[in-house]
Amino acid sequence: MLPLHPPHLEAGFEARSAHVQLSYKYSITMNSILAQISTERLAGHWLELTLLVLAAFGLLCVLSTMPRTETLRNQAIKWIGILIMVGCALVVFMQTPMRWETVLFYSFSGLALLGGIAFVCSRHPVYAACNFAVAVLSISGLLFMLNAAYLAISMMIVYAGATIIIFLFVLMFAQRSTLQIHDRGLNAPIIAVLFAAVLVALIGLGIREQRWEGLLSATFQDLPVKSEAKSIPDADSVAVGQDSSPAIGMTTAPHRLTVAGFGNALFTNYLWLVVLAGAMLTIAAIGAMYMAERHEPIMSSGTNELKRASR
Amino acid sequence: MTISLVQWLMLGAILFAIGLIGFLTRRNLILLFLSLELMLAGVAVNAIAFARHHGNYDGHVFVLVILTIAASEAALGLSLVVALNRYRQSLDLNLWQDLGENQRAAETGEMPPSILDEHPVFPKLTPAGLSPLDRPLPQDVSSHQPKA
Repeated sequence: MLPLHPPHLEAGFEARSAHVQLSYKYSITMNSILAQISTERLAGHWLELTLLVLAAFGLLCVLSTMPRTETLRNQAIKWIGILIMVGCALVVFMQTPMRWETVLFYSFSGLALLGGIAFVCSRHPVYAACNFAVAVLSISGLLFMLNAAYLAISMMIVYAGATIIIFLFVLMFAQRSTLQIHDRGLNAPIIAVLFAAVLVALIGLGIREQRWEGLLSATFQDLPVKSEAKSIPDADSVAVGQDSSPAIGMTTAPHRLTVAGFGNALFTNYLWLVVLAGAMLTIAAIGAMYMAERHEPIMSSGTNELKRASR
Repeated sequence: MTISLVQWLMLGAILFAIGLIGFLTRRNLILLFLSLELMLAGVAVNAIAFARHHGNYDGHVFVLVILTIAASEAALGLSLVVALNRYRQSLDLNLWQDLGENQRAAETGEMPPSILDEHPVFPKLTPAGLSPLDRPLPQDVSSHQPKA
């Protein structure tokens, strides 16, 4: 008999429900929301907010030099923006104690953010696609750190392999001359950067206000590998009626996430999802073939038939 | 591991925001789709961090679905881009502003000539309704054959 809430999660649930009750005590009005975002609460995150504002300003500096020509002043603005962003990353990096996983995490995530920013800021679309490939490869390195080896490899193959190649192929097919006017121009960069910075600030405040209780603080070696005999429901236990697979969303015991366990979860609880994904891929392939076909633009067969009928 | 869940979630949020900036600012149609993929990658980092946090595989299954949707979206979106490129001979997003409000179409400046101006595409309607009364009504449209 499985416990409904495992003990290592139960404390988290209780704490979270108390937290939710505390926040529901106020009726939801504008004044109550403003009262919750008080200055004392914001003052606890002053360093993060300052870093966010600085990084957004640096990104805006780099973005604002994109449509212009390469004069000395614009180069100076661009490098000032890059230096501001690198300084923000260094401040975050220096704040944490140096351990092997920390260094790995920060180098991978720094590379991912660098690739993403370079993707947004690069004029030439082919270079943008290559920077996107850098970002995706470092994200898959991060997924290796999270014990998701299968998804990391499939993300490498699907994103950095297939998708980038097809995008580059369409890009070179559709846009023959190298640098177009629309690759130098931007649509409303200030509003976009402001919007994204406010979004990150709100998400970050929401994350920091929660109390997360879970397994992520444990090291890799502390967690035992879930035994194969338990995870695979064999014929005897199913026949007797003792299904060993847990209910969806419930955690039985802390264990290491493995590729074999992922395969078991995918082909027992989520088998319908595999079928659905295959059906969706088939439909998308048929739709893509229909849409990329060259259609006759003017006369459809229906109007021809009407003409014939009324003759 | 000293890296807490908060850091993973913040990384996912920042990746999402970078993709959002790219989606809102860039004008190349293909780079818009790449920005969408970057946003999806940020969400994938979040989901896998939650899977590691809770110790089950639900987040992994989510990410597999995200990968499938990204592949389908890339196929459909690229065929749409090819079809749009055939009409205007350009990948500029702002050339399609006349799909939205009428006032904003004047902001883009020069518009390249489109084959839509010479041969406008009308929606394809199925033959329906009544013929004018001064000519005989065709009794059955499908059985009417042209004269050989």
